[in-house]
Amino acid sequence: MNMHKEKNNLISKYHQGEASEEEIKTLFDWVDSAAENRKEFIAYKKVRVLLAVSTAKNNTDFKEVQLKIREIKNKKWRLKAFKYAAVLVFGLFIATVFVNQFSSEQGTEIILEMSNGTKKIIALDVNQSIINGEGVLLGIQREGKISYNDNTINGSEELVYNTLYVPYAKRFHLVFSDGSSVHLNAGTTIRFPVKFLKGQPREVFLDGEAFFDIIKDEKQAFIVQANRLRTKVYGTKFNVNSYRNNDLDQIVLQEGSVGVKSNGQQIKTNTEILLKPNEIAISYKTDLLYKQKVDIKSHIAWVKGVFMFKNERFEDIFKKLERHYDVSIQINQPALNDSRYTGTFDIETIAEVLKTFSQLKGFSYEIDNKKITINP
Amino acid sequence: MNKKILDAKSTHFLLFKKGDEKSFAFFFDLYFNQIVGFCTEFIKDRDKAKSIAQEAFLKLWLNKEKVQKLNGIKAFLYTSAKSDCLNLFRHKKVVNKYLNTSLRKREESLNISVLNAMNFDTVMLTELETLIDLSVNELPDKCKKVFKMRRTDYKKNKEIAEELNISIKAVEANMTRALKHLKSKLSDYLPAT
Repeated sequence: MNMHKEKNNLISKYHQGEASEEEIKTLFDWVDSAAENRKEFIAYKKVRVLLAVSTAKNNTDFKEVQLKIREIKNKKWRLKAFKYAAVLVFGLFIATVFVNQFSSEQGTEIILEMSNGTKKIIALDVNQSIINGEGVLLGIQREGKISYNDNTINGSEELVYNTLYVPYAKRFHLVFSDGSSVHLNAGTTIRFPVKFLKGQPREVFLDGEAFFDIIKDEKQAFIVQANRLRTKVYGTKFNVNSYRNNDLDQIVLQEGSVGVKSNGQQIKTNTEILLKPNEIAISYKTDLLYKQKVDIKSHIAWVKGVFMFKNERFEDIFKKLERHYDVSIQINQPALNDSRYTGTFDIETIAEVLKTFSQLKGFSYEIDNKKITINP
Repeated sequence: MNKKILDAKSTHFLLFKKGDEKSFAFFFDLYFNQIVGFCTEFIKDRDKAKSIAQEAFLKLWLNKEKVQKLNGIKAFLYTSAKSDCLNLFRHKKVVNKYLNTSLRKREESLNISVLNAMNFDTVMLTELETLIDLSVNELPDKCKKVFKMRRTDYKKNKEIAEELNISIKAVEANMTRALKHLKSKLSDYLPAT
């Protein structure tokens, strides 16, 4: 009887986490000494776990589940819409959607603005032809990619520009008329000629982030005009990061060679610097331009949909997260901004990303639809 | 069981089946802490337990058409949590505080046995719930109060101690007593193998 009572005390002590290792060993020895004992222990634990109730639930738990559900729903819907389009239409599905009015530039749709100012919504799950105001076929969209034709019959031989807006949380792929290709990251605007003209430089204008793969043409330089920097190339692969609301322009070279020059007059020695592969050109607040060696992986991982950062400031990482997930993040703990991190996310949801950081730095956060607040 | 609550549950169940998010939230409130509590008993890491519970609810929502009965919700959630806990053990991701590796292994094997011995079918859970309600009513008053505050109102030991003006040790003792009583009442329902 006494023995029995002692054992019961031990079991409850063990479950309350108050038993010493010595006592736990005694308990486990008892459990293992007879099949009956083991049965009794398991029966007790079964009742215990079924009656267990934590006090862990807080306000964000349900919201986090809702967020995950919404993300899955969006993915499913896109897949469904694509299947529907594919089944419904024989051959290539050609649809043109003309939209004339937009309330704001920073919407949630990818938008192509034609030379005459009309705007089309580019849905990622359809195939459609891109036709200008006069009904001339400029190119073809296949899901996340538009390819411009080289053989467009263009009455007058003058440069005609289109502009593509890629909103937050989306990416897009463009192929220019010369076959050069560019991947556009979230929150990017690019203005480019529908067709490059012979004997003239191939010039595009960029606000945001883009990875260029340029077809070699010694006679026609390819020029990327970003907010602060102008990059001149003849054939190469490189990444340009230049968001208007950042103080920083960065050009990273993967292959070939490029020349980088500042746009502004502020830099006194306005000479072109030449980049070799695995080098980065940095312009900070227009009064400084320099280059250094760099591991380019983290700069171009986004092209494959991977979110990678290497020794980057918390604040800069969160700016990228805002674009990648289309959320706004308010940081109410200034001390966090300057801490630096290295890491990779690919398929994680924003809730999972936040959780990882919060565990690392011990802050709390609230998710309210697309608004995220970080508190100490 | 309270008749009123039963009716509210049934209404929410019908709405939940039709995809009503408010009713989903109702069940979330009702069961989330239970699922986290269940997982914590095995893996002792509250964050991991929470993410398993969240995952269980996510799967529940995606499979709501397959849930036939009201108590099927609970059965679904526990089953999902059980298999995720077992997966953690399988991938050796459970943190264990013991220095002694042999103790760690013995505890792990016991936990795996308990998890494997649990089968959550709707009938079992329904009858179990009724039985728990009946057995709880047989408890002495204070013991009953403590148990209900812990399990139904999700109160912490400290809060219960303050409210009933007893020591935390006394709260724990009452919980142990309640569990012991329930164990003897429920053991037929929860055989070890």
